[in-house]
Amino acid sequence: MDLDARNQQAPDFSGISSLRGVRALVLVGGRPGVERFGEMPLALLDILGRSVLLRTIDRLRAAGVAEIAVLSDTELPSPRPNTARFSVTLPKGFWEEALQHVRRLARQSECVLLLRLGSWAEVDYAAMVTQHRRSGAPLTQACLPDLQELDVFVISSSSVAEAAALLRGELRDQRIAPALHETSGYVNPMKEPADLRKLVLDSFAGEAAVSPWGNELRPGVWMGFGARVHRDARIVAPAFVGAFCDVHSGAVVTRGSSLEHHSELDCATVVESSSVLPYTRVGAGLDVEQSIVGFRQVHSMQHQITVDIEDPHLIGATRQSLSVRAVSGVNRLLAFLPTAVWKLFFTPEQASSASEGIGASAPVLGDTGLTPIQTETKAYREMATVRRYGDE
Amino acid sequence: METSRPVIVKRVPESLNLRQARVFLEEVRPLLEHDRPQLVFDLSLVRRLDAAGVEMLLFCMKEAARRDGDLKLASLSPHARVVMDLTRAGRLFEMFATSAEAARSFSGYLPNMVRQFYPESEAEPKSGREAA
Repeated sequence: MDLDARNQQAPDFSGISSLRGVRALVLVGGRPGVERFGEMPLALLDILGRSVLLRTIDRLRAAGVAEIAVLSDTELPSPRPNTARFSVTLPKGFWEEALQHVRRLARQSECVLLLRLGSWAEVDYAAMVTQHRRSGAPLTQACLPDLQELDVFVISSSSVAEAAALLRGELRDQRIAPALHETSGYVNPMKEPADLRKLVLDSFAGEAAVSPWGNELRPGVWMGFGARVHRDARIVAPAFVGAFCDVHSGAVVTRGSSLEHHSELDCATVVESSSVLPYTRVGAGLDVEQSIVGFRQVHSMQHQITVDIEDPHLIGATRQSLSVRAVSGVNRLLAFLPTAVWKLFFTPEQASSASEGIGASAPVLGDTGLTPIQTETKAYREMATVRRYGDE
Repeated sequence: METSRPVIVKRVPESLNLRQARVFLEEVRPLLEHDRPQLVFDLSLVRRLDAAGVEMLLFCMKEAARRDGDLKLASLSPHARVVMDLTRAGRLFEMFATSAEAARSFSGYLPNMVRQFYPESEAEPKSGREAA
């Protein structure tokens, strides 16, 4: 690894001194019914092994923020890192609870950094706080070069009244006119599930500072701890296979796809330009293309729709508990062994020809009662097929 | 002389799981036993489609093809379309936006096809050499 690459991976501590007296409040949710996939805020879903929330906390820690508090309107997945103080509240009292947090943090610091996820915004926090101090404004808000406002604010400790108005207006009150800090960093709005895919692809392309959470086994192929890939499976770069994933025989993961942790891909399934969310089992022989799969749902980016899949043969869930997973694995093995031994010694003769196999009724439907028509194919077999082109 | 056989349009129920698929198959069985059946399944109402439902559709298509007929799908609901794509079954069927289009497509072969492309002459097209 060359020096430039090492420098890119190392956290930037240049702004530590300027953010030592700053505390941060990270809000997750607050807008019911949007920015979600399967009732889960997009910010809590893993992207290349780590959620937007945890990556934001990492960025704040790297920038030198003294204390980070997280307030969510949805139960947070565990394990939670000890680098931040997490609390969950009901959506009804979310913004009032957020105000209480801001008041508490403001008492302990000179200014509070307030972020709402939502969006993944690579804002230079140190530069933003520096500008806020220089301007002397009560509030500073980050915005894009086209003046599109982001949910990233710096609030002076002495401006709790303005903060109260801001939070009671759910950060959207047009009457409050904060000073603007223009950022040129990467921003993904994370409003729709398709934005999650865009962030994955931008991360693979190096446009977003989101590094896959795993080892790069081959150029462009990242593998998390404990991931198992069958030797007949194919992982085509760029791709990410998360921790403890199980990729079975004949499966293909290609075109910037990501399998998040503890997901399972059954035999001969193709995942192309798609993301499989944590603890998701994708059935055998499926074609997952331009989709996000998880929580027994499929979001098709082609058709712009999310559908519920109730059939566990298609989309299911893997066990979340380690002990339950171990017991179920042993059960599967015990169920498999007698069948395998029986087949080895007492296998009946296979269908002698392809036509017999084709003529059989569908196994799921059982005996359908339809009598197949006897077709005479001998004459056709003896015919030679000649394709003519033009006037030949 | 041109003979035309009827095209039967059948609306698929809202839910097509294992149980419903068997019930539906019982309904369409007489239609599949015709000589050269021409069927259109309208999937506009489908809200739940699982592996058994897809297998039933494939089975119907296979039975229709055995009797030199065909089964086409029409007005697929978003749910049905996503599941058909997911299970790779979508590429095996001819799918149409409406049942009328699907029914019309059955008569899209010669000589009707020739009439469609050469409406004035209403005759077989001349070969390139004759035209020259």
